Amino acid sequence: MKKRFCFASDFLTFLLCGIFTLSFMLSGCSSLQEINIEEIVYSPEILEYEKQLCMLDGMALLGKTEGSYSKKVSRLVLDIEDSLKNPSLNKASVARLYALEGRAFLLNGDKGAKAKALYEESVSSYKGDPQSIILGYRAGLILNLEENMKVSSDSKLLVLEQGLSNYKSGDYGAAVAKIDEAFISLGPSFRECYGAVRDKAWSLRNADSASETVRLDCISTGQMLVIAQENSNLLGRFTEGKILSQQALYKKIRQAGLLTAAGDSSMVLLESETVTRAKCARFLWNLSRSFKQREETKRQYSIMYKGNGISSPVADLAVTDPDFDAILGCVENEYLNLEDGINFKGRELVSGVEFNDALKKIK
Amino acid sequence: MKKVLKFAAVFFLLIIFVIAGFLTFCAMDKKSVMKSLTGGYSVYIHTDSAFEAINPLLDLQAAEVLLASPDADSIRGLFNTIKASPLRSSKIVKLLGSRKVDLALYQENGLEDKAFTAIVDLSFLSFLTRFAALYPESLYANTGLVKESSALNSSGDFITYFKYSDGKNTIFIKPVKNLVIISSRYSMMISSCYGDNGQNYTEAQKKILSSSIGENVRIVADARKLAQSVTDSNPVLNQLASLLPENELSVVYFSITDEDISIKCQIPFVTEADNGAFLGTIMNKNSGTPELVSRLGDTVQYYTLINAGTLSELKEAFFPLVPKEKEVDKLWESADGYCKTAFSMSLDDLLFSWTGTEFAVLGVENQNDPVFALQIKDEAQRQKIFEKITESMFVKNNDSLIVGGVRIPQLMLPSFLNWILSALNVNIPSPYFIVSNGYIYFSESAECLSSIYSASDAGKYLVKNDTWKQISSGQKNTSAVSLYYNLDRSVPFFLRGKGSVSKILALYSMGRFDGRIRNNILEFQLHSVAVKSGSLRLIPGFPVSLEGSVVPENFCVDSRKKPENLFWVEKKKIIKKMDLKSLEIISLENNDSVSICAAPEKLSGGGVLWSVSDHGEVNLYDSQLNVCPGFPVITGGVPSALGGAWSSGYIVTLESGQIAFISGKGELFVTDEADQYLIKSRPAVYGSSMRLYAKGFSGSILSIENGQLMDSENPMEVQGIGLGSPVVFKNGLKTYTAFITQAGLLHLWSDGKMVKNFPVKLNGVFFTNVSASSKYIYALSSEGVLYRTGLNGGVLGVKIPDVTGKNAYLYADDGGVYVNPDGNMIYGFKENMELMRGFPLTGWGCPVFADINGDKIPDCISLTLDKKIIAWSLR
Repeated sequence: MKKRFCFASDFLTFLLCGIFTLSFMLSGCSSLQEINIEEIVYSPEILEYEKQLCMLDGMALLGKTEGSYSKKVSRLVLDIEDSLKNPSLNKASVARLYALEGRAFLLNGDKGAKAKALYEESVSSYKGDPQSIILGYRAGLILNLEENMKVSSDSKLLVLEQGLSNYKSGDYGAAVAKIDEAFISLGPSFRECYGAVRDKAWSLRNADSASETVRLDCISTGQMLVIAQENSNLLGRFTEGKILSQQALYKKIRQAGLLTAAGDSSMVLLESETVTRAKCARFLWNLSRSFKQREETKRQYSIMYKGNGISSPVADLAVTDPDFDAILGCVENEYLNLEDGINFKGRELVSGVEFNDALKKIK
Repeated sequence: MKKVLKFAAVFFLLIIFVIAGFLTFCAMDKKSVMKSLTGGYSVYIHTDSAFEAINPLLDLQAAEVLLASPDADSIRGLFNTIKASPLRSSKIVKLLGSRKVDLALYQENGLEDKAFTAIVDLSFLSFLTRFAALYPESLYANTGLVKESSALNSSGDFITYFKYSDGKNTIFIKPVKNLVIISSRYSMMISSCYGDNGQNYTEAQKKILSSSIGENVRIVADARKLAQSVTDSNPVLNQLASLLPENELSVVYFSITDEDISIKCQIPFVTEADNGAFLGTIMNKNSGTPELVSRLGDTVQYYTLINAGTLSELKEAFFPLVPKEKEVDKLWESADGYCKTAFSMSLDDLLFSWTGTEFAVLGVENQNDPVFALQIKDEAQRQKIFEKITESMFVKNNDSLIVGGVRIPQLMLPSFLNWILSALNVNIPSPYFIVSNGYIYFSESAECLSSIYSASDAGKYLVKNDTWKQISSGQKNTSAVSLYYNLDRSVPFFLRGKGSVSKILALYSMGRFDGRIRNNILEFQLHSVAVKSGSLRLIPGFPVSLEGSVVPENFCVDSRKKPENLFWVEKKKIIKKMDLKSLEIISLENNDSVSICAAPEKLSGGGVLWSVSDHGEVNLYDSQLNVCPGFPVITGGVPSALGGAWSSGYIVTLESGQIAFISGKGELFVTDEADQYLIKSRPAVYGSSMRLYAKGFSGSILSIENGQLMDSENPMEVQGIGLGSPVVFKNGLKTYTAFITQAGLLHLWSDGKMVKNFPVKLNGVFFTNVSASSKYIYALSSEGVLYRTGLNGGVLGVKIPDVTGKNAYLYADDGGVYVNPDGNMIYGFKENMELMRGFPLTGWGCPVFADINGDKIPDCISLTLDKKIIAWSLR
């Protein structure tokens, strides 16, 4: 192999020399001025593929890959391959299509082999395409996006990719920062594709270092207690400073009466019960009264409203509701807010982040 | 009486004659700068008027770029102080500053020790300094100047001079006749005062130094050092620079404004036998006018053109620069042999027999592939050569394309040839080519060639383009190398560096750089222009990365009128301060979590920043974060909300329902008059008026005036529950209070009474409360609708697309309103609700405004969600 290389090398040196002077001048010209990649206008067809891919990518980031997801990705790959057969495509478009195809393969679980090959195809056709840089980054061939920004024709797409990368690594605040920065400059189609990811990152921005439980869209009573134990010291007096299992914790807190409605002692939250806003308010109210050692005020609202015959200030909450005190107390103390300024919407579910945010307001 | 008057008149006349005579003497009795200036400097700067040279530079964006570097930390504050100083418009300062100044900078080889000598020619104003040694010390004691004397020689001669020291650096100052000599070295000062350094200069150097400068500033520098400093990113050019003779002076003229920059550098050279003789054929030839430029169409967006000689001459000139181990001469010989075998012609015939002296790379708009252009000296010979090589086994002549009515043939080079070319950064695997107007153009893109042909065929020439004309004004037509660049498309070699010069040049997006040779002088000329863009500019030095999380509520400047410091709290416990002039940051770590609030104006003890800890400990800090006398103050309770500062004190509402008032001297007054109320939000402040929102389903607004709770039994009643703080503002003599409920009921009170037409119902849900200018109240709904409500109740709404406002921030003043909806973006709206130019910007929370760059226009400073401080110039 080495011999063959030497032979080829000898053979080529004469040509190298023959064109040396000319090339020297041309390369001399080139090296005096480094050429930037120009922003290319892509065909509507390619833009549509890009949108479809980003839409599928956005769904994957949110974990919504069930059902016909895989088929949609495969369909997109076929469409792109069909388009690549068009001989009149310019190089930038070919590069973009290869990059999109590579990204689609990654979405469909390709370990990287096919994606790497497509990345090579894309780069050899045209350097600096942001989608091909993104493909290279996701396939592990490019480690630093920042360095590639200066050679990309559209660095805002790479800023968006930085944001998505932050999202995947759980750095939600930085994710929103970068995605919003990119959205300011990118077209509305990217907002359509990644808006939900951005909103999810926004809702999780205060849960960067929190556990998986906090990131759940809905939580059970047991999980609510675990979040409270992990993220505050409010339960310390009940657990005596120990970290208890969910079951043991539930038992302790139930015994302490923190899961019992102020207006009806027979209403106690079950460990596996899904937490609604009203039930969340019940626990938060009991916890705050206990923490502030003002348990005598647990029923202050129902006593005042019932005693004076005043109607409820919250449209969807009756004075007779067992959680009337808890809901009014939580709203007045800003642990929870009215959803629309009029109704509390107590039956709506509470996410881990919403509960965690509310918990932090008890001081 | 008449005699007295006559005597007085004669006396005064005599005095006037004496003064006039003295002034004339001062103007005539001169010492020349050249005699005083010690040789051996690396850079010499001269200006005919220090004021005219320096004053315009203070306002440049380029100055901000220079000051953003860490090395400039120490002078940034002083620079911005001078920049913002009213003295700049003083006629007296202008008169005093309009003096000739010569500055020489010295850097000894191998030593980090740098030195300087500055010589100010005071001319007739030297009457002020001629007897400076006799002035009483009390006259200059406060300036830090010290008068000293030392022995000059053994015969007992003494010299009296002034010395200034700041602990690190010492400067020696000595007035001599019309001059004031300032030097960082005693020996240099002595040499400047008593030496005759003029005889050390060659005639050529004297000519350069004494010639009229025309521009504001002339810089003379060592030619070789200067050339090496700008070519260090290009090895070949750097080698060429090293061929320049040592100790030869080059002259740099430059002028700079925010709109354009012009630099001209002349370097004399000699090609001697032992130093660059091989360059003789190129360097001894005066540069000609390249013809290609006048033939290029206006679709060309950048070019690099070399017009230094024929290929044969260039080969002779540049082969010696190739490292010897590459044995390039031997390679050439064998290549020539192979060429004869393969193409039946010599390498000289193949390359030199038809090519002219111009070679270029250029780019065309809307096309990405570069175009290579070569001048044809002999078209018949070119055709003959091309026929021969396409008949060979190595190069195929493919079918032609017809693009835009132009027939464009294509060459198919074999893959090994492409490999060699790409190794030399020439990527043309299957180039198309056209021959037009005596030039052959190659490109991978047939469209590029068609575009070049069509534009020049239609008479749309680059030289008629307005921008090209602008950057070519003052440029000569001759050139050996010429670069026309547009930073959107190409980056010239001198902009690739990371130094301040490259950063400054990058502010000017289009330019032309020419290098030419004339009568043994190498001349470089650059003229660049800044193409205006609509976006706002990030201030150099920003963004500043933070070490921990910060919340927008703990981000403030020390005064609304003329802020000097920016404060914030990192990781809940660390208070940090940035000096807005020097950008220097200091910090103070607390044991507890704290929240901060700037005092509206500096308090008598120097206090500018209030803080309250989670446990109710209140502190007042000066601008260096030193605790003021009388502090800390313990309130005895836990704060229920963030504290608020009024003109002479601080207020903290406590969980117990009490309200703690703390004066600037540390006096504490706690009242429980309002303990039936639940205060969850920061007090609203305007001057000495404060408003507190007592939260509840039947909430109310409490008034505090001058630190006194007013009529807490009869507060302003709120119809519904709301979030956040009210706003208090003045219009004329009236003080208004506004508040919006979560359900959208906007209340407006004046002197405690509801204003006519209020409350006004706004559509939507409001998680953020209102902000106000003197004329309008602004509110943002959760759906992202921004409302502007007049004091008469008239409402105007604007929907901000794709945003929500559940955790938003709103800040209004008479200039407009700034909205940070949920996310990392800030919108700015004018009072008429039009979006301000350049917005939205990245940012989080309420922005603060302060003049960072000294241009007297407040800059917009804000946090970002990814833990940075960002600052935008609103100029």
